[in-house]
This record gives sequence, structure tokens and C-alpha cells, in this order.
Amino acid sequence: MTTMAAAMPMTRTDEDLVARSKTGDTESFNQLIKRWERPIFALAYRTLGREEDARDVTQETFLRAFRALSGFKGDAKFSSWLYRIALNLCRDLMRKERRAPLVAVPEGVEVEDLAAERGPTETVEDLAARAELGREVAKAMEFLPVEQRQAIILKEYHGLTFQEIADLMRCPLSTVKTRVYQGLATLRKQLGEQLTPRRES
Amino acid sequence: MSHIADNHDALLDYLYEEGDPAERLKIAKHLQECAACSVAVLEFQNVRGMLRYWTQPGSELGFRVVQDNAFSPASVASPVSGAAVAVEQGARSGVWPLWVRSTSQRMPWLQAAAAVLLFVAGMAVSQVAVDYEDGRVVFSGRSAQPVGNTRGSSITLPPQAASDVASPNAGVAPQPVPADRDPMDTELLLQRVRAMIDQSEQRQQRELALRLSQVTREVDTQHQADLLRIQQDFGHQQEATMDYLVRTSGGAK
Repeated sequence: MTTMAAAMPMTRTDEDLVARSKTGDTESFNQLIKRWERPIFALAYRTLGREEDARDVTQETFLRAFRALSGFKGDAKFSSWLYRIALNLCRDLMRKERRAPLVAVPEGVEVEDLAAERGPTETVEDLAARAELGREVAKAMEFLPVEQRQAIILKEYHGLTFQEIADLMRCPLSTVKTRVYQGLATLRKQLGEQLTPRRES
Repeated sequence: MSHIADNHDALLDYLYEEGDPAERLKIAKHLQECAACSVAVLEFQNVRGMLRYWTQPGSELGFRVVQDNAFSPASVASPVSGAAVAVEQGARSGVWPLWVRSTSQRMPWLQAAAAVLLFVAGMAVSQVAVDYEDGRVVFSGRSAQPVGNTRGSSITLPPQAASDVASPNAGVAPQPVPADRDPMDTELLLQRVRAMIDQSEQRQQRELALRLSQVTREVDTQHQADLLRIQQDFGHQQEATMDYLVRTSGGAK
């Protein structure tokens, strides 16, 4: 089985890999993980603000998907199904943490992490400024209710359409648009100081 | 046309290029004439531009599900519940699949193993001989001649340091590294190092592609914002020109 899976081309569709996984082909499921772990991690990281929590959610998402694979009928896309599991896990974790006395501060990304992707004309100061802006955005995101936050993350960082987000979050299209609009309006307010110089420049 | 600053649906459709293209074109025309709406759109576009700065950590993930015994997903579904710890515990009993966490979570071990591997490979490549003599690890340069005849400068580590180099496990006696390494072992080591380097390069290429797409989107967003600003400035100029013309023509009368 492993040899066969290793010889499989990388262009297999999700549906194909899901079908193979259902027959017990673990390597096919591992290919699905490889394909989707980064987007799921990104979604969880931006929703929760902490790398370790995001890792836990990513692991739990794939674990749940694996265990429930036989029940997945393929009505929705596999990726949508994964996103929904991850969103629910994030929401559960946030609700649980809300009861905790301490509010988590988002980690953001350090300058060292950005150094690897530095452009040819970008100075260390530019990198530091980018890292600082990233932290400001992360902080501003903390002000959003989880539904608004998730809607914006799905729209901005995952490129989903409003209708896809509505299907994922199981709410009307108008609700998604309201969440995104209100979220952006709050961010505009929170990031006001950072936005002003950008407008002037 | 009504102000899109007050029409959230239209504003969002325009910002994210969704909905009816004809409607978006109408909005674009409206923005050329309406400063208030232009400012509103620009502000939202600036917010979107700022969101690009919030990047995710580029750490390795590498999750995998590893099958311990023959099973199907359905057979796993019922007995395991709760967190992954339960699965890992189940895996130890050899019944349920082992869920291996991301490789980076075992970084201390992996880093130590990789460091030792690279170190030994480096030794092999640079023809440095490593001897274990009287409880000490001795490093020496090796020429084409047999070891022992001509030795270069030697670095002698104390036993404790030797222990650290030989094994990351405290309390485990260091194993001597043979000076005359089997060429097959060296070849295997080199193959493993090459494989590691290949994996690293592939990962970097993937990350580079992701970054490029992100930069492209940032540039697009900024481009749109700049265009809008230019349109807005142009509109202001037109208004000013019209005002001036009205004033001067009024004065002429």
C-alpha cells in the first residue's frame, strides 16, 4: 500500500484521496493532510492568536476528520468540511478560554521569522516595521467577536467568497456581509493611528 | 446613484470584486464623483492592506497519521474520544493508529540527531578522523596516508564534552566513533544528508511560492488604493477647476 501511495501523482483530487482513505489507505489521507495542514493551521493561528493552540487545533481537526471519514458523504468539498471542523474547534477553545481570568495576547510574527522573506531592497528597519504592524493587526483582531473575526479571516486570508463563508458558518449571506463589514469597521477604528500615515503617504 | 458608504453590501462587493460586474462599474463611476464614498472605500482598502502584514509563523508542521494495525476509519471512530493524547495512549497499546505530531514539536531530539548527523558527515567529507582514546575523543586531520602516520592539529575534548557530542542522552556512555569509517556508512550518511537538504529546499520553494502570491495580492491591493486616490485627486482638481471657472465667469458678468 505504501509503495503504491508513494507512486501516486500529486495531482489527485481531494475527492479521489478521500475515496482511497475510506478504504483504509492511510497514505492518501496523509496526502490530504499535507495539502491542507497549512491553511488549517493558518486559520487556527489567526483565530486563536497562539501558535501552540493552532497546532493543537490543526491536529485535532485532522484527527476528527480521519475518525469521521466514513460519515463524510461528499455533499460539500473536503476542504469546506475541514474548515468547518477547525472553525468549531477554535470557537470551542475561545469560549473555554473566555472563562479563564487571563486574556491571551496574540503572538504575532517576530522580525527573525520575517528575515527569511526579506525583499532585496528591504532593510532591517522595514522588517521591524512590518513585524510591528503585524502585531498591531493581531491586537486589533482581538477586539472582534469570534464570528466577525472568522468571517474576515476566511475572506482575507483564504479567499473564500461570501457565499462559501455563509455555507461554512451556516448562516445567511447577509449575516456574513454584516459580520465582515462590522469587523472591518472595528479594525479601521482600532488601527486608526496606523492608517493615518498610510493615507498621508 | 446612492452613496455606497451607506450601502454595506455594495461596498463589500466592490471591495472584494464580487457580485454583478455592471454594478461594480457603476460604483467605480460614482466614486469618481463622490469624495465621501471614495474616502470610505479608501479607508477600507487601507485596512485590508494592513491585514496583509499579519503573517503566520512559517514553522514546520508535518502532521501524519500512522497506521499501527489493519483498520478502517470507521473502526477507529467509536472507541477513541477526546484529545489526541487518548489516541497516542491508544497507539501505545497497538490497537489504534498513532497520531504523530508535527516534527518540529520533537525539535530538541531531531535537532540533536541532525546536528550529530551533519557533524559526522562533515567529518567524513573533510577527512577528519575521530578517535576515542583513554576516555577522550580526539579529532585529527587526516591525509591520504594511513591514520597514525601523519596527524594534523588535534583537538581533545574532556570526557564530559565528549559525552555531549556522542549522545544527547545524559547518563549514556559515549560510544567511540571508529576512525576508519566504512565507506558504505559514509555513503549512507551522505545520502541521508542529501535527502534532508532536498526536503529543506522543497519546503523553502513551497514557502517562497506562498510568499510570492501574498506579495502579489498586497501589490494589487495597493495598486487599487493608489488608483482610487488618483481618481479622487483628479476629481478634486476638476471640482476646483469648475469652481474657478464659475467664479471667473461670474466675475466677468
